[in-house]
Amino acid sequence: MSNTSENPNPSSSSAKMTLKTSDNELFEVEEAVAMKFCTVKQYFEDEKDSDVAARGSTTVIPLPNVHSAVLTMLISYGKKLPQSNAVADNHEEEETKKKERKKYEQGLLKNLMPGELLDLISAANYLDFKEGLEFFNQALADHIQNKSVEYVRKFFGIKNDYEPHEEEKYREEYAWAFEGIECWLIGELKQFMAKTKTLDIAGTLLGIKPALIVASFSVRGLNSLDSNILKPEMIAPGENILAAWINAIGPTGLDSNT
Amino acid sequence: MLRCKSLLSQTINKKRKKNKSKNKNKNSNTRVSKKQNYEEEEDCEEGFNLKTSAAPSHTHGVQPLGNLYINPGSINSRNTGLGNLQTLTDELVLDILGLLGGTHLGVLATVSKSFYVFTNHEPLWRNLVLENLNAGFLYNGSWKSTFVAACYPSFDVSSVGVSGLRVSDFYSDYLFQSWLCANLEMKPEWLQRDNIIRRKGISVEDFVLNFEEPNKPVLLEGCLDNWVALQNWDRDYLLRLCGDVQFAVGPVDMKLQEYFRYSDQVREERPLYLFDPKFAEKVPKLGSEYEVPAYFREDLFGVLGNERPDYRWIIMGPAGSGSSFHIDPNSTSAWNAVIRGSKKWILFPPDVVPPGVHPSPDGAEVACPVSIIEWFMNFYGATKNWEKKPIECICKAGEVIFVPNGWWHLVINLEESIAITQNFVSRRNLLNVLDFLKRPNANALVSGTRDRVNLHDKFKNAIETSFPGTIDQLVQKAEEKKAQQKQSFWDSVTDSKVGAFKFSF
Repeated sequence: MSNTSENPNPSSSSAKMTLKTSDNELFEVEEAVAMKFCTVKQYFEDEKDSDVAARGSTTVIPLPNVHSAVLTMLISYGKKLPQSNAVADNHEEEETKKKERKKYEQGLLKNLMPGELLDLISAANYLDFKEGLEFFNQALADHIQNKSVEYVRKFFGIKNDYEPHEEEKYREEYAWAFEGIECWLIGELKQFMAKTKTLDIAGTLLGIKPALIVASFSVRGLNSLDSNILKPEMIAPGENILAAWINAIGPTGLDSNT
Repeated sequence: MLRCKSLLSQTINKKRKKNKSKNKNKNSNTRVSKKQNYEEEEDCEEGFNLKTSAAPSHTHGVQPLGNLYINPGSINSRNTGLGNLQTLTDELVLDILGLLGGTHLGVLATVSKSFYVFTNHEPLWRNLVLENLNAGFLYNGSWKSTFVAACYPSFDVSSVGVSGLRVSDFYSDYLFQSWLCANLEMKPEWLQRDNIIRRKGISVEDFVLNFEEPNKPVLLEGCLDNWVALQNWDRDYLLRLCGDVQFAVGPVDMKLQEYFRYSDQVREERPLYLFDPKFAEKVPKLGSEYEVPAYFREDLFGVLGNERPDYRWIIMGPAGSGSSFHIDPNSTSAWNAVIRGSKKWILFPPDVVPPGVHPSPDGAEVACPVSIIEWFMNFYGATKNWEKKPIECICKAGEVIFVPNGWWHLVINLEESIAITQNFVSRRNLLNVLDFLKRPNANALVSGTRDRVNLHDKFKNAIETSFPGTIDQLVQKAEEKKAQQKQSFWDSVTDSKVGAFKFSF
């Protein structure tokens, strides 16, 4: 007979569990989130069966391999995931949540140091947090994908243990891979170059302050016909102009026009 | 370089002492995919024998982790070469590498010697080939070589993968075990036990009464004597007949000649297995050169016609290929006839879960060692001391084994083998099958058909149409049987009550 009065109903979302990290910090976590850590889930289920469960919801689950800083991040990631016991959202709500999560993920990864990422992976593995592990593994893979050998060495803090002649030999053996990376780089470059530029025509703008500076090569001085008029009578941007025309042949018929 | 035999004996002896202090990270369960449970062997004294064509030690000189402890003061070059990635387990490192493309995996090999060893792990390249090259590939000695040859045809492949890189002081259990399982010979003692009942020329009634009804396995001899296949089917014949037909090989399709090319060259933990459920449709001649043995002719799924789930397969594979522990789907029974080669079978009754195997509570997933050899290495010994041993045998060419429904079984080819297997439903297990199909998680458990959820209703209706009243008859019989058993229970209770009453009075 279990003491149901002390044990919170597992399906209620307000139930909380206490997790204790390696640096003795206590975290109160909603059960729905904590259950995503399968190690915790297993512990909780084992506790439920034994008489120790009678102690009630004050049981503290020890996580000696996880530091508080890491657990904080894992918990906040876990909260952003769709909850298994949540009421089913309609399509729109789902989409919004997905976008929010993507934004959160990007923000999370931007400021992460390599050491922190590895800690997160280790911890997610220890906690058996499948979604977290998948996400952080992919983040690490994405980060080193298509980077140079030197970058990878620096990123992981690896000292090259190849002798120079060995390194040459193996670079040759893997020449196909390096070629592949070069091809990929060239492909990316080409794509970049081929990108079209669009003009955003804003129309006539008045009251722009400060006024633009006239180019040094533009004519200044008095109008030869009427000295009351100062040059330049009409002005337009004279440097870095991107010109466009609609027909295949430009107005002068030349290859380039200014 | 120490010979493998002595390496392992030393490792195991040292591990005995070190196991208490070694930090085991929740190693109690095997995961569905790669995680291994490296337990101790009781009979470690003999060491292991490698296949005759194998090299005497790991290609790159990887040693098991235990050896690190016998080398005082030595540093694990695995760790120094990984930098701060060393805190992750081997499995995690390989998981991450598995997310990268082939090109980048190649580049990473030149980062450090440790990375070289990790990125050369063949299963990584195997996944890349199977996922990306399903248009067809020619196996080229190794999966890495195959990938490079297919993606970079202008590159001279002969220089790939035959590198002489040998690392010193690189210790990793996972990588070593992976190599070991790929190169291990089956130990003779694993093949010794042969306790299955063998019968020759029995009647169908005899079979049904003594084996099908009580759900017991049996090895039947002499029922393939009239099979044309037994005479004709060898490699040359099959190549001439259907060498360029695509057959289902695991997750991909391959032409038969390409498959043979692969199976001749391969040496890995879990070789790909040719297992095709539509072979008779693809090559009708194959279907005509064998016939279902008399004992198994009643096959009620036949009422579904073309909508029946997959039921017959041709199986071909090199030595070391096979199936790890599983129960056949849909609660069907099966027969397996060896036409060429030989297979080692191990069977456990439905209520006995084999050691090292962990089915999920709903039965949809089973966690077990990656390769069959690994199961033998780590778990076969556990059955030595059991009172009720598993049923084992070696099935040779011309023999047929009957696998009753619900029995766990494992099969490993001892040499290149060709076989035919069929699953069937007879009146004896019809009710079981209907129950199975009715289960709420049918869409995860039912297999061999695209119409998983509706199969139960379809099947039941089809049976009622073709064999009206059968189901009711069987249900009645089953209930009678149950009632009989119940009666005897109450009888015994009443007796004892009387006795107690007398006594207390």
